Amino acid sequence: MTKLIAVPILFVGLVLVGCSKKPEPEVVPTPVEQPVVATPTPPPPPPVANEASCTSIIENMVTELSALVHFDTDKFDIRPTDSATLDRKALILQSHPAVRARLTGHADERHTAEYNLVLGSKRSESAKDYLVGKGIDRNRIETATLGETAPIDPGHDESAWWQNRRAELTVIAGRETLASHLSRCR
Amino acid sequence: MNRGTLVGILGVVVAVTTARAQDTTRVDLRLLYDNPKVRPGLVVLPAGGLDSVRAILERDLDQSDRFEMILLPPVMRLAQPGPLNLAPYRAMSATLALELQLIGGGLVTARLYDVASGLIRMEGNAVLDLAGVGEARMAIHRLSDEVVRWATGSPGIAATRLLYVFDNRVWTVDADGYGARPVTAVGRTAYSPTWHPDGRRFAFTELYDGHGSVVLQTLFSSNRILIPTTQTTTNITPAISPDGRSIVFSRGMDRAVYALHQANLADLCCVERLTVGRFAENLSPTYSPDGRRIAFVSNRAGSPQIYVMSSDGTNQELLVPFDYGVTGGSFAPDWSPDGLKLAFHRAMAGGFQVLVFDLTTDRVQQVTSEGRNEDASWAPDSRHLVFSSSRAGGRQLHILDLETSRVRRIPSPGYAQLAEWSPRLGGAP
Repeated sequence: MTKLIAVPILFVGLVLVGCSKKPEPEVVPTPVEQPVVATPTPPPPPPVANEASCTSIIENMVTELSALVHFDTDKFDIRPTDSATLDRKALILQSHPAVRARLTGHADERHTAEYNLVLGSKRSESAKDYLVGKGIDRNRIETATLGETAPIDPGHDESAWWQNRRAELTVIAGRETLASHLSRCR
Repeated sequence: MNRGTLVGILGVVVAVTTARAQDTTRVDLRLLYDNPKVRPGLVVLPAGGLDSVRAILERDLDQSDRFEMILLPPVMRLAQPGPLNLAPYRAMSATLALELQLIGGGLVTARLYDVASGLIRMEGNAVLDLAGVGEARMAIHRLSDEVVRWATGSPGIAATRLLYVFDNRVWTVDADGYGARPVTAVGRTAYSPTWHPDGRRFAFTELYDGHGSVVLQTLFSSNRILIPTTQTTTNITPAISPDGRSIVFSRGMDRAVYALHQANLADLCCVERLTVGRFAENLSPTYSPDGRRIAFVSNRAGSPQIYVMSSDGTNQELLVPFDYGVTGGSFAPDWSPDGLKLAFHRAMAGGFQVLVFDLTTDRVQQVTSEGRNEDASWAPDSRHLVFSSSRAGGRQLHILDLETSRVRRIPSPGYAQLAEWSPRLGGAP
């Protein structure tokens, strides 16, 4: 029962979030350097849900599925703060059974190169286990590792390492069905 | 030393070319330097018409770390007419002098003199491309390796190459740092290169489209074959047996278990699993030079440490001792070509350092300390190591001579890692 309620709510939320522009971070001007205070451009009004094209709905779904799951240094367990990210992926996968996915695990550069491939595997398997625990068929998710070979941030500091310790989900089949919960998109 | 033996040795130098070798006149193979830590003074004499060859030889002999090189001031580098006079070099503390003589048509005679007595210790001929560029350098490197053999009894390591990973491709570079170039394709992540014992092929892991295939490729060619059953799974850290018949690698199984598997490389078949265990990771195998044993990394007791087994997977046991809960993780073992040592790196004080495990004494010696140092690979002489180090910024390949502690760097523009030293390279591929 919980799932049946949660899924439609999620979809509406995704469409709204996906189509509205995020406000820019507020800049506090220094009076001396910049006497004229710029008026922030108001965000465009959010479009009504049923105006969203099927294509943009699919893109929003893919964006949600692709949200990164991050890990602590040399760890591969799912952090509590990342479980919500994985919960949303699980909901989308549950309601779109034709979708198949690949989880790819990554590591930062601090561990040794070849062992980072193992660490990447553990991270992708850990994320997969979480989704399987939420009822996703194990056979719908394959896992892969790229170790430290594909950093998001090529830097050599904590911020870069945090970005790079991750699992990434990519849709490898059934992408076109991601809007099929709407009759007009079937 | 009889003439037959000598011709056999020289054959190594000459065989690669259209041999027009003149034979040797005089031989004295006494080994004066039983102590490897004693480095005899060596001078490469001025050689008319052979400037490039002389420069490469002099550099090779220096990088062999077997000699105290005596570098001539410019005024002494001009070839002098008349009979050879070794007296000035004796005054410069030279023990050995190498004379190069251009006979013509690229035929060069090399003579190694004992400076004190003036006698020729060894002499040989080689046909060289005198410009000394590109692949022609290898023939010069082979001559220098022979000169090292004449002087010390064992050959040098100049006629070798390194494989390494830079920018997600496998590159190769001559051991003296020349000729760096990529050898794998753009767009597919290549990792963990390892030499075939023939020195003309190499295997590596190709991470592409969610899988990690093991590929065997010819060095300067796009000829490649996929090792069976590796196309649809993740297979990492390959190593090829010394007889070239088998390849062993680590396969990612369900639930991130990594198990060593071995395939028949000669027939491209018959993949079998060597390590069992539902939870452990086993990776980074390295064959003993007789091919009978395989050392590898396993975390079966908790932290990753170095184990060994028979090459059929039996008799698995801990190889490098460690203190449970104290010793840092140990990675990437490489068995020395003489079979006596194992190099690896270990997590120490927040970084990694290269250590050498002596199989005859069971002692571990740390051989690096500056910066982060990892993924060491032995040269064919079992005394030089190449490894990736952060000591000069980024990660660059460094070569350490364990006998003298001399270190030299192979410059690279960014992160160079996972280096593998080739066997001595014979004739042209």
